[in-house]
Amino acid sequence: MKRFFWIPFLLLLTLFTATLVNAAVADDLVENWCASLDDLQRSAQTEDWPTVRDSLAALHESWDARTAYFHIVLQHDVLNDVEALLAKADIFAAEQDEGELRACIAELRSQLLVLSEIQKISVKNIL
Amino acid sequence: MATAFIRTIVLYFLIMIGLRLLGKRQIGELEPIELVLTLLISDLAAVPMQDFGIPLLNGVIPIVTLLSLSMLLSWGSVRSIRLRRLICGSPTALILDGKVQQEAMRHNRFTLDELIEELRSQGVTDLTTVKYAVLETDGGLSVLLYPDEQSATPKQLGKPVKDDTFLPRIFINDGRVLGENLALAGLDGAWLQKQVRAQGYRAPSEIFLLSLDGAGKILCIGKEHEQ
Repeated sequence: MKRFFWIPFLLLLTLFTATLVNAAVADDLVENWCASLDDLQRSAQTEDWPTVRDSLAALHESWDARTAYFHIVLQHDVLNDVEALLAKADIFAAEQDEGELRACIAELRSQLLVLSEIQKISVKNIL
Repeated sequence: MATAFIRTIVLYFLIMIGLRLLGKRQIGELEPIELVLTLLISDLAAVPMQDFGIPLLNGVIPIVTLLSLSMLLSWGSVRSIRLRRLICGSPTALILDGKVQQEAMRHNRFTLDELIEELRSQGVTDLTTVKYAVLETDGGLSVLLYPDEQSATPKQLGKPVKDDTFLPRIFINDGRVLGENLALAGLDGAWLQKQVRAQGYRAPSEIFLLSLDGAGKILCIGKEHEQ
């Protein structure tokens, strides 16, 4: 009889823990990516384009490493938007267009924040 | 295509396991709360099956959550009568001692036409023959007639009846020997082999059904293509 309590209870507990861990992981990743974007923007302002390109490549690599994870937990359109913005940023960095890159980075940052925001357990999200 | 295929299989087995864990009642007559659960699960499963932009987890997590909550509520309702009443409601007598309970009918939004229809479906056409009619929590109507309107049982007639109702034990099911049933009946493979031969077959694989009831009567049906 007790298993009818413990099995669902443990399942619910596991799911709740998983959602908390997922929110924390997403928040941590997005925070790191936003910090990389800040560095990238500073390098772009000083017109240090080799550093900009290196930072973007590192950002790409970090993003690609987590794509599968985000595909499992998030709606795919949000991820497609981020990927499109990363591709745009690559083009602007190659063209050394600081103005367009700045706008693109701002958009990318807000899109990344959406990723972390929608994972958070908050009254705003629940309602 | 492959995504839809695999997702459908995953969700199908998830729901099957979930419904199996919930018990047989879930598949038969549904309480209102169980009906809601079933509708929700079917809807939740359909979305990630069709929309590949939505992660499978978005379907799996709500389904597992709903099934877990449902199991917890079932567990709670077995232990607490108050919780059971809160979740499932309680049966209501619509006819009590032959008197139609109009207030109870109004409270349950049960019309006279529906009551008569339900009685008709149970073979009752005369309202005055009904002693009790109880609206059950699953929406079904249980009808009890006055004793003089019910069929007389041998017991009421004072006639002795030989108990010849037995639950048969199946030993061979579509050519497969059910060893567990044999052991439960205190029999063994040698006995079965003897019965198989006595029925005119060489091996259990040639038999579609072989069962034995409490009176010692053996029922044997051979496989059509084996005959």
